[in-house]
Amino acid sequence: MKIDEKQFEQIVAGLNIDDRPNTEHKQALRKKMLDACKESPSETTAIRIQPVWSKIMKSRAAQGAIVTMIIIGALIGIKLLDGTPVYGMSEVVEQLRNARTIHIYNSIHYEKNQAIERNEKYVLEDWIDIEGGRTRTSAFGIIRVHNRESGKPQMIQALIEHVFDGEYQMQVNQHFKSVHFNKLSNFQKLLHTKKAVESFLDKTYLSSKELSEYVKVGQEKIDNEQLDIWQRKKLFTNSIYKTICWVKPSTCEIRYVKAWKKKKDDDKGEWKLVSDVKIEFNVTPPPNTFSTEVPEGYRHANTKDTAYESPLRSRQLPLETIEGSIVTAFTLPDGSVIMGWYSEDKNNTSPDDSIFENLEAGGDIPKLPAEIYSIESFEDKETGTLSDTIYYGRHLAYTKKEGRFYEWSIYIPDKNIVQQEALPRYRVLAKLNPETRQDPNREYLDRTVSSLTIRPSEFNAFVLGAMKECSDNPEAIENITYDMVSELSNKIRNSIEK
Amino acid sequence: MATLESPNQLGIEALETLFDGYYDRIYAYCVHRLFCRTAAEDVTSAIFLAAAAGIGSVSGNGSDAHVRWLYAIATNHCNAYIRKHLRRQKLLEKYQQQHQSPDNAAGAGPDWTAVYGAIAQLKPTEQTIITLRFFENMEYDQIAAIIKKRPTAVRVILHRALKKLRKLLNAADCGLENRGTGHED
Repeated sequence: MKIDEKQFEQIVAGLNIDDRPNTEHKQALRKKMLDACKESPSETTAIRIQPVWSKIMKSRAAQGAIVTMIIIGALIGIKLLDGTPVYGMSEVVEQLRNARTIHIYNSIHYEKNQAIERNEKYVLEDWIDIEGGRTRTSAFGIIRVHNRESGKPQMIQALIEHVFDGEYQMQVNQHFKSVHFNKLSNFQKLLHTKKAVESFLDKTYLSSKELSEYVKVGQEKIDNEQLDIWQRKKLFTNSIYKTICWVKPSTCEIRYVKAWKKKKDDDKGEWKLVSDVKIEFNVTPPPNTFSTEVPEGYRHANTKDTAYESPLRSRQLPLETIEGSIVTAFTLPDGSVIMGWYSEDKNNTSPDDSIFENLEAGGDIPKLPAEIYSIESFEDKETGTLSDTIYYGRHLAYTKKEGRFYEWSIYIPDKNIVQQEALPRYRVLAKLNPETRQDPNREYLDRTVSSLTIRPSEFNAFVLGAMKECSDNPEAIENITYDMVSELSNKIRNSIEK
Repeated sequence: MATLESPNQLGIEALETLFDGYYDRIYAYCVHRLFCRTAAEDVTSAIFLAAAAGIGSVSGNGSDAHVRWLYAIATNHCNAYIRKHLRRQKLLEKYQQQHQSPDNAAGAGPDWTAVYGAIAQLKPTEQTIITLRFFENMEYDQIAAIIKKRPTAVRVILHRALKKLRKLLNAADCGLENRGTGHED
């Protein structure tokens, strides 16, 4: 038999395929598409916090895969003949993590875009009081406003500040002169401060993964201080990024970080400054740095007295009649991921407690309405490429708070991973169980969630801390220890390999 | 359909024109590639939102350039969806014993299931060419422009893909023997 083109045409012609579009979908999509286009050619959300870092990251994301990099012993340290202390970039970053306070001057260079009329340079000051658990950070957000004169939406760039005094977080919108308060629990305070430091490192090209790419290239005297110069070059599809750090060798304190970019294959092209950061260690913040008093003349949507104490929550999982959320996620040094989440059927007012009965650590994940059965990691978060690693989901523990059950699952990679990223992101794969699936064709939904990599010594503070935050009975999870989880991971990984 | 003179003239109005003129076809293309109406709706949404974001960057003049560009976006999205879906199907299968076959929400008969099952086993480029050629009734040069290959290369790939399909469909025993010409190529 021969299937030539004509025959296959006949086969196709004889098929009964219903490919008529759904009118509702068509109309809804048309509106959504045109709204997105009207709002902005490139922004589809009304408010988007866009610090210079995310802009750079976005740019990097578009630039494709990593091609090459110098990998020299930045991590193992360099022994110098002149007796300069031996250190590597990992020591430099550890010094930063262990600081009492970090003071950051961040020069931001914005190019002309839809929200700003010309190239602009701003200097923002951020403070992280690691010891006291307080922060003051700023970022520019693109805000869509309605222009009364033209009657059209207009994009503007507004400075948004977040001040956290250790209990209340005040968001200040400098454009609208308005403030809003949130209240954070002690655990959230710990998490907030830790994430602030790691996020700063990530944005400053100092994540653990990037440290091995730095090489010491010389010295320079700045403000009467002899500083080592560490350089890193990163080649992308269209651009080259160059980052330079100036480090005081005697104390391993980093003083400055600058980043430039230029077009690839453009030898004569100029390096364009994209980031310029000055860092000060252990400086006592001026009074009122972390003050959450409402500035005079500012409107306030709420007050500290009426501030809502936000529950621990990272990413929502709403779909059809399902209500759910990912509470938080932590990555362990071996690459396993512990994630807290809940999922409820809104139509079912009395949750079925029996689902959580007889669960065993290492056993199946409970069959909740939306069941997070696995996750996917990113091989290259800059390009969004997913890795081949398969994560096996298992039940670890559950907690109950105010009538709501929280599932704590562990996702174990099928291979050994040395986690180098501080804030790895994952795609969460949630299967919809049939009884709650209104649309029979919808099998799963996916979300992206960020996590925090923790050390074994931080397990109790963060993992148990998060579980306790979601529990009326903290004693119930006292049997969960780092060793127990580590052993469980190994056991499951071994069984997978077999 | 209105003439789209140049990329610079493309605005919201032109995007509307493109949507109104090609939504049905792009959706149908997604159904043919993905075999699932729900998935086709999701991917069609992604395709047009991507089109809205990038319409200013399309190069080439005339409406043909934009249609080719739209199909290229659609092809990339469908291929990405298939890759992701296969991977997730594998994960699901590993996790749960029960295997869920691709849904047949279109209400098509078994022939469509068998044909789709066979097409799904081809390489993404082969799937793309088969679908564009036989389901979207495109000419070789149109397909070549969408997948950025030469028309002769498209012919060669199509020929090979049809050979594979023949084996797969015979293996599936879907009664094609009676339609054959009685000799092997």
